[in-house]
Amino acid sequence: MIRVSNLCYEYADSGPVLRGVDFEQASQESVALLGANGSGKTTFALHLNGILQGRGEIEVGGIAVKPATLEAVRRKVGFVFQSAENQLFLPTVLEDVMFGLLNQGVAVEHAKARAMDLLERLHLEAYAERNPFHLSAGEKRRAALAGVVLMEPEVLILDEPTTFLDPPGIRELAALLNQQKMAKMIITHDATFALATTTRAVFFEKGKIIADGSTREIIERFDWV
Amino acid sequence: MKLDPRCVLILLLFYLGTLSSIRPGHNLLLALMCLLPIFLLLVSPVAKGELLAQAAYVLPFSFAIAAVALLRGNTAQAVFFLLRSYISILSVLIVTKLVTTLDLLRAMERLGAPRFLIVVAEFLMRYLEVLRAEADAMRLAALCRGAAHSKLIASSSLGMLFVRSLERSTSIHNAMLARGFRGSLPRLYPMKWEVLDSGALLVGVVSIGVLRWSL
Repeated sequence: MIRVSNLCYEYADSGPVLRGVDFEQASQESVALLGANGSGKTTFALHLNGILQGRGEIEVGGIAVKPATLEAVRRKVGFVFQSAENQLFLPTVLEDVMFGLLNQGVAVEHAKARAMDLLERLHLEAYAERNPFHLSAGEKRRAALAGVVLMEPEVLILDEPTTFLDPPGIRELAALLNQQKMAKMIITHDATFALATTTRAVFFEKGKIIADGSTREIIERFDWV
Repeated sequence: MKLDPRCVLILLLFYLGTLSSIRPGHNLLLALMCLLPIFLLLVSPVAKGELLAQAAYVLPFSFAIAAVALLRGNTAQAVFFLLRSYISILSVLIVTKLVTTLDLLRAMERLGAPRFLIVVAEFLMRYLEVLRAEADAMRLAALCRGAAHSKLIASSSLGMLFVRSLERSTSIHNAMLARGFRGSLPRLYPMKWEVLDSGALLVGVVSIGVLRWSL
């Protein structure tokens, strides 16, 4: 599903962040990206849907990620950003959740029906016409996730999804993610959450993947609890 | 009674155009034209005092024009300029309280304003919100560390505020790109022009027109 080879990237103001990353992920596989802050996890993930474009080769679902293929790639890769607040930008929850589908050219009525159905499953139907900024952190996170899941991506990337969530919210999110059948890539510092949602983990250090194995094995090896 | 935003916008523009066409000296006509927004203000569920005060913000600007008349010794003309600009702004403010900015922008778009400008305005609104949120967060952080004067904080941290806002704006833009944004926001709710809108438009235009050209 995802194939990355020798990916390098550097920010203009902070030098190299990725130093030749090689990575592969199968369909329906769930992988945790672990590592210290600044080790390159988010920068790496942002390459998978072409938000950042470094040197190296990336292929998602058989499509090479390059400027000409971004539209097709972004249909395959759903990205839930660390700050749900930044992800929700339309006046109502319903409009925001429908945003991606409408960009794909789905008719408004059809998009609305699908969005309402998903909001019901996420227990957010009562908030459909509310301003997303007035939701709690957990509700914002679920609304942001709904906007991405509704697009039915083949790969779901989540950047620090447990930020600002309380323990019940984290458990609820884990259960929700485990119901999703697509490949998942989860960037997290939360070892318990990683264990609950992924089977494999890679460990980033100074812009490189230095370990790859089962989530439990990697967490124990790096004492990442 | 809720009118289509396009109807409200056309009526507002017609009213403002008519108001601006009144020449100094036609004081009775100006007074009668002033009654319209004042009536609307009285019957609308808006904060009346607040709007009247907000409309006064325009006075220092229009005073520059009024000053020319004053220098020529024409006090009546100066008052005329001030009153006309005040009532124009008051009308706009009332409309912005009765119709959401988003609806007004969509009405403009449906009336033929360039889509690009409308999208820029929509984003400006979104990013102004970002700017305000960042400013609030910084002010709070400074106050928690003992800073006493929020104005001083605001001015000394202006550069930092823009850096933080730019960062957040970039994140928002990235989130939009990730969900397939290609330069324009989708439109969800189609506007519906009813018979009531046609009636209101006709009555409004005829009333303002008759008032303007009969006196």
